Amino acid sequence: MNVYIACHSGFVTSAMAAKLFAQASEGRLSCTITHGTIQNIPNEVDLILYQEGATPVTHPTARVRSVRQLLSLEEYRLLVEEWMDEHET
Amino acid sequence: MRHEWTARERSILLHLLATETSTPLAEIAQAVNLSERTIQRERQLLEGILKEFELELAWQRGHGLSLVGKPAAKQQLREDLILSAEAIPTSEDRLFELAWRLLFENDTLKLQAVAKQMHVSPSTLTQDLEKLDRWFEEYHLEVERKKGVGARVLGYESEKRKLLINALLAHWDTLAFYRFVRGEDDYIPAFLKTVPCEEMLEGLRDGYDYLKSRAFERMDDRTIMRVTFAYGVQQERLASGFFLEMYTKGRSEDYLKVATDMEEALGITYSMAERVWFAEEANRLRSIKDQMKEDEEERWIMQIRVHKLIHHVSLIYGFTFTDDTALERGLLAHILSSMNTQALPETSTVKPHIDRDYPGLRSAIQQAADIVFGTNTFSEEETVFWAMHFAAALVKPVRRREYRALVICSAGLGSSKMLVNRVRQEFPEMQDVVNSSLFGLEQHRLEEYDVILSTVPLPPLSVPTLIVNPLLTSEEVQRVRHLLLSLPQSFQTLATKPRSTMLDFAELGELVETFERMDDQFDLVTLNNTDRLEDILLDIGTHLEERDLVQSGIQLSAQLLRRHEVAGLGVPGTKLALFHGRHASIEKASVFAFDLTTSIPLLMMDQSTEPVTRLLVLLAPEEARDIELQFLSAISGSLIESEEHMRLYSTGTKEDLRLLLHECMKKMIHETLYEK
Repeated sequence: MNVYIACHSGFVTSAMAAKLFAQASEGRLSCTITHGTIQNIPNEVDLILYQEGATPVTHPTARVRSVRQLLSLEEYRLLVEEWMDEHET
Repeated sequence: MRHEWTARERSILLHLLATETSTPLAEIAQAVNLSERTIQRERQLLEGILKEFELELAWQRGHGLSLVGKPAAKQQLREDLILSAEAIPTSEDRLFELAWRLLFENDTLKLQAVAKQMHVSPSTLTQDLEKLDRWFEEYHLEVERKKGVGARVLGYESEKRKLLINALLAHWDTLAFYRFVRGEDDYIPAFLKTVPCEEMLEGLRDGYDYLKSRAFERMDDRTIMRVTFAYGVQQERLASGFFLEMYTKGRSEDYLKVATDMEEALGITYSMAERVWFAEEANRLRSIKDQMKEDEEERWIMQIRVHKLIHHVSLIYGFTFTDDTALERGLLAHILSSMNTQALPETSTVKPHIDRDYPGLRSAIQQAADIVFGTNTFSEEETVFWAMHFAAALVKPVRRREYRALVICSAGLGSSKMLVNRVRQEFPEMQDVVNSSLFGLEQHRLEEYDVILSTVPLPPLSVPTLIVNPLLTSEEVQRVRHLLLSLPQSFQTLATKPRSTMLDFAELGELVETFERMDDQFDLVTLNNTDRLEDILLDIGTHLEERDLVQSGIQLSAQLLRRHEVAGLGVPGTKLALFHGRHASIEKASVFAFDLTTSIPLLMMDQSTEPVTRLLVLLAPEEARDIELQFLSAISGSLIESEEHMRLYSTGTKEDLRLLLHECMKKMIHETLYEK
């Protein structure tokens, strides 16, 4: 699956978040993680994450989720579990 | 001419009717959920029957099966298949039949004997058992296999009963159940017709007669069915010698009343464990928690019904929708959400389009819905939405297998381009269509392609090759498809993209130039600071303005301050903060570090406050190039890569920091060299 993490500047918080998400999903989900600004979301993406409270993101096909902490490994772990539960059934 | 078709015959033939060319056995087996050996056996049986329809079942080794005959004869067969009895068992039914047989076996179920009884090969049964594993797991049940002996189910009796009740709920729609309890014996699910379950069927009628007259609170149709199924299953289990384990839970007399009343009315005597179990089943909808659990089970039941719906639509419409998981998920989500919605959006505008573009689809869906959910359970509006899901699956390119084709013409220009476009148009499943001239052939690794299409004669090659017209006529399309279908599996599992072995000098040059500039500019500066962040940022702005990296130091400092106020920038657990910005006033992408002589308290990324002694500043202009943004991202990522990196970024010397930046640069160069 393709995951996109969006942040304001597109090269600091989301870049760090992408590392954390990769760590949280390692061995659980096989995914390609990209990051950048909210304006540059690619078409081919299944899940978009962004900071709760920021400008809401919209996308025609992907699942869009806001997270409480863009830099929380714990939150990503829960998210990965949730995603797997949902898509394994 | 009417023939009593079995479900297996029906699905094999409908699958063959939907494809014009020969279909490999493996593909049919996968589509209709049977083993290849079973299909081979069916083939011999079908040959005789098909003669009556003036059709022939052609078998070509290496190519597979095809139906040969006049279009009118095929139409006749299709109609006969569709009109044949609806209640014939499907592969799903077979699965439930096997589950039922396993759960009602006192000892070990002998698989050889069961395969014979169910008219399937042992390997089909083995495949079914694997599917059952996943299903049983949800009920904490385990199918234990003993080689040469058979299989049996391990787990709690209460869970086994729960599974049986849910299986009945999934397969028995309300109307059919109503007809059954009113005395019409035909209306039982297909899988129950072949297993012994007289006690249960009798129990269902007795139980229903009693329950329907009882005014329980909130007893809707599904609830009455559930409680009736609980009673029926219980009777069958008890008659077959399966008793409940001890119940430790104590229940009040009031709670048990529903069971004791039933015992009295129907003249039965429960053990305490059985009484508690039945009362729990009858009372389970009273608490919110149980209702939620119920919702989960409903979802599962709906999933099976959606599966069945797709199966029936495939049979009636004559197109295999069954292996499209996206369709199944989409429909399930739609049906579940529409069950909780009162008003549906207007469909009158879409309806004519669907009927025009996909004639017969809506009527197929309606028929299938009537079979699976009972007549008129869902409105016409609702089925219009379903039709949109099915139509979407129809227009989706077939991506079951992906192929790579190399297209060749003598010059590699005009005609091969045309051919490439034609191939893309006709074969959406082509993952890669690459064109080449005849002389350029040597530069391609032929083993990375599944097929070569050429407009000119070619020397003998290791890859299957076809000579075609650049316009790719419809006859040639058929030939190519034929060839693709006959390709052995191994051709399709090679590594994916053909890799270019050439260096991209332009890209490498741009990388090196960017890195060199950023490395030159990088500096670690010590600021003799006050404790006001505004002053510190202004100092930084001025400093960068002097180095021609930003147009206005004041503007930059204001922007960095605002960014800090939006969310903390400190990295928790370090004495480092990551100030960054992308702004029109920034001239060049750059990295800088500033050490503070006096630490200041700053908001961290986790919203805590900690003292900070170093600010790492990452800047990008509004129109930054991808390479620059990638590099800045790489630095951000490398910061949290390890404890060691965090330590170096927050306390390392200028040389340490440069080394870290160089590490990021090397990684990017490496990726450009090897991974593109």
